[in-house]
Amino acid sequence: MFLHNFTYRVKCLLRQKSLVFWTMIFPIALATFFYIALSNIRTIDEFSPIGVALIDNEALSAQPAFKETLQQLAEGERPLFDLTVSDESAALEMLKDYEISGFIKAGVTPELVVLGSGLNQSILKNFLDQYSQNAAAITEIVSMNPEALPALLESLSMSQNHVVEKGITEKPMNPMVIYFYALIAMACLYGSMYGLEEVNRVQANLSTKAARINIAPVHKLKVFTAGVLAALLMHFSGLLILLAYMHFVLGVAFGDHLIQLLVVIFVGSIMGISLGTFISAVVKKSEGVKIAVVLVVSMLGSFLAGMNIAEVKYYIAENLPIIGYLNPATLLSDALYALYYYDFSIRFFINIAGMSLYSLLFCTLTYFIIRGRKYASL
Amino acid sequence: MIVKVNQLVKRYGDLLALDHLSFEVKQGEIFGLLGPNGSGKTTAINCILSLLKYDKGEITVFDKPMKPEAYDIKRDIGIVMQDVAVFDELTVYENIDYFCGLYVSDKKERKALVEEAINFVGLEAFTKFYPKKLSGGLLRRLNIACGIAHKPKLIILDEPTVAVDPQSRNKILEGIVALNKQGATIIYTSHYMEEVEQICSRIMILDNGHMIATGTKDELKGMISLGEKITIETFEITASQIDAMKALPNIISVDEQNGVLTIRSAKGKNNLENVLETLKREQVSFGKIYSELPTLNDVFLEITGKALRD
Repeated sequence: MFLHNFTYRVKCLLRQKSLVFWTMIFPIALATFFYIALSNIRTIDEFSPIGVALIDNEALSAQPAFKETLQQLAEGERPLFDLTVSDESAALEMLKDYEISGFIKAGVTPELVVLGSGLNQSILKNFLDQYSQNAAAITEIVSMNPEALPALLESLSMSQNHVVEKGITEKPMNPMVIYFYALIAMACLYGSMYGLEEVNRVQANLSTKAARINIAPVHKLKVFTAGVLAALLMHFSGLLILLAYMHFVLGVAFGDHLIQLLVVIFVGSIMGISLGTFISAVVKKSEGVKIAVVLVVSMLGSFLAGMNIAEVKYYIAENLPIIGYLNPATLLSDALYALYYYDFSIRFFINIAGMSLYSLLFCTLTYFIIRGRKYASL
Repeated sequence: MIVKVNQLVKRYGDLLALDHLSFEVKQGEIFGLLGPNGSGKTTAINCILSLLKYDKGEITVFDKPMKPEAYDIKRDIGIVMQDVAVFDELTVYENIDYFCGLYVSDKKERKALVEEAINFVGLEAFTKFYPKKLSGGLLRRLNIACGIAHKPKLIILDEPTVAVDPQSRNKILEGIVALNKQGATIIYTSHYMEEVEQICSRIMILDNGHMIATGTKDELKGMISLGEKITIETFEITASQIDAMKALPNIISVDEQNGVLTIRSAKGKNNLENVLETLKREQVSFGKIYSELPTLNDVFLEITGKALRD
């Protein structure tokens, strides 16, 4: 009997297009949208070497140190310049074609030629100003006090940064993951749709199919349990597909703890479905109203967890932490966040415990509301 | 006794939906519950099925008290709901198999039952169709198949022919009679008196939660004074001619509207003959004349003072 109900529930849920859309296709589409939108932000943050041409003339031959300094800045893992040595006419062509941001003519005072103003042009100007300043200082000290030269060179090479950057985790910081983690939280809460469907299917005052099931010689809670487990299988599978898509196609990082990651998703899926059963049982309105409530709860929860604006999550954590602890979506996204950055921290376990408590609460309340088998009206 | 309802009372707030309703359904009969919309037919059925809470009364099915957990009773009941109750995501075959599977665990036995039900309702060509692809009539047949596939001893059909084309309606009515012949006891609710008259062996008429009459159709018609209704389409008729009609023996009433004369007479011989003689004597010219025996609507009209279809 259990298998009979379970198998047919899986078939029904698989063929329910709106359910498949909201729980599988919509989160995948939203993740793709996030990826495209956030890719642009990442590109903005990345530094590209500044294209610059150095005019090959007699003055340059007379200043090998200048050429060498520029060449050093164009080498290494993170070069500052993309350097080209050319004659002036070729450099001018490149400048007009925007292949370079400017070109430099060596001389007593190096000359910078640019077409407009901008960040790259400012960097080039700053570099030349600093070089000219240092070169002038060295020349003057050599002429006035040659003995001070070694000390000067030493002081120039001793440029130090007195601020040491120390992260709270060894993992590379990636603020973009918050958006994706909140999206996963939303997808988990969309499991409410399944929960809603399962309650409608066994409450005779909500659907005629349920009335027919209630008349059959089988306890409705057995039918309900089989349905909820079928829903869990469907929803969890959908979430795995979403995770796989995010990780392998979009390259979203989830850390190295696969089992724990699956635990988060599994508990999140249970929480989402149980939330739906609770809403369906407690809201005595039409199915459309119930779906609207489910969507509002899921979307609002995910918004507060930082799905749309990451700063919202930080604001709530700092100013209204109680909302963070009470919001199921925050618990879920924070569990993923904690797992990625802090491994097995107490924060991870607190979030899992919170989600489990919510699931238990929703299931218990649902049971007490739907356990009745006779109705006041149909 | 298959079903026994004793002094059943059901209230919806201030509305008394069933007022001390009592009736019995005997084995092998097709018991008709006839009444206008809102008379309490479906409420009575839902109470019998232990779906609805009721305020007072007793219900036994197969001589045992009916409760939600009475699985031994439920196993032998089949229900065909007023609204089609099937899953849109399952095919015709899968729907019947699913609902039958709630009663029959054995796969092999179930397969045979499902196929038999499909043949019975004539859906052989539609087994792989989804409900949305079926016409209203075919959908009703699927609804019936889902309710009867497990071969119940008691089948309750709640308005199974609402919004059904005449062809499917006949097929459904024939099927109900066939199920009864195979040994099932039937409770059939409808507000279509012609259907109830056609197939039911015993009828209970309900109005506002009250049982107003019960018996075979002949017994019900025997309860009222009306014996015959004669309708005459005249070209022209005067007041004195109408008075002549009223003076005839057994006449209960004579009404004239737009030249159509309706004469209601009590049971008695030669009513039509007397009317024809009077028409000839009074030289009333007329087009058509026809005589009808009383219907269940007349029974309802005489007892309640309103037509069944009101």
